[in-house]
Amino acid sequence: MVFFIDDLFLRMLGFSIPPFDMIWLMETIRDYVENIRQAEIQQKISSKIKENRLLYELGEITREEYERRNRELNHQRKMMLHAPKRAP
Amino acid sequence: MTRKKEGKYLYCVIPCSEEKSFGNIGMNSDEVYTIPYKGVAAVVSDSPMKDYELTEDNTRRHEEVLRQVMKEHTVVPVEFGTVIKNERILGRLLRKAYNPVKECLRLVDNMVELGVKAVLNKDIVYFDAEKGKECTSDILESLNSRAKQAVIGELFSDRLFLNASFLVDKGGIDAFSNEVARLKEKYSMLNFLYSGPWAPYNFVYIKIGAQGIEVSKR
Repeated sequence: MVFFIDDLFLRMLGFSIPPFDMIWLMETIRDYVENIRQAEIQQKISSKIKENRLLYELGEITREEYERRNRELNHQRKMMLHAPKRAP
Repeated sequence: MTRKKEGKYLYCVIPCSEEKSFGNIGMNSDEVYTIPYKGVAAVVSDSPMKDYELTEDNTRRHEEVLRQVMKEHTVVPVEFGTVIKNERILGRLLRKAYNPVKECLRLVDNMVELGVKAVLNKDIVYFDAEKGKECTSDILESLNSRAKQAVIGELFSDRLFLNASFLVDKGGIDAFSNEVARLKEKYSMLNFLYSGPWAPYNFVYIKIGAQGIEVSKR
């Protein structure tokens, strides 16, 4: 039987191997930053959706323009929501 | 009209002791009616158990029901798209949330929500930030004096100076509107978007989820 002796397995057994720990730490930081970045993008898209509605209510864009932008932004929002999330 | 036992789309909770119909104004043009419990009543319409998409048509229909109900009653609004499996579960939720709902109804009794957004004109390229802050606080102060409570919303655009909701007594709507008109004249570089009367979403709110019923108030 083949075992994969990875860092998680070793850590479970109470072993600590400094290079593995360093890689694990760097991966955790990378995932954390990536999740924050995704949340920020979602927030920006959400703001743009609201701003688009605002411009329409102010009469600065036509109904057609509003609907076109709204479709685009909602599509972007859905794409972001379905983007794979990394474990923190 | 025969009412189904299963599937109730919930719009709001009102102070009401009797069964009452608001006509066929519901989400699927179904009848909107009350299910009373000890002096409060859930305003519902029959509905299949489904997710209601957050489209403009759907939200408008939900809002229109609240608007009609608000003509006669104080309302505690419920989150859009809330469908309860059956009348028995709805009764259980009403029992559980009875005290907080009563408290919310007292808080917003005879009140409506009015929304004000102040947006910088598109032709203005530069506006001093300090002056902007002064304008915002002056506008807020003036409008606050005509309202019971205010909630400041997110400034989601660079041109947005103020985004606020105000809880106003129904009898004070005219005075509030006059104040908005006065501010429009005073600040010609700003466009005012004045909306309402709305159900007081930003002040009292019922949300039903996996954790049960959540009644929130400001």
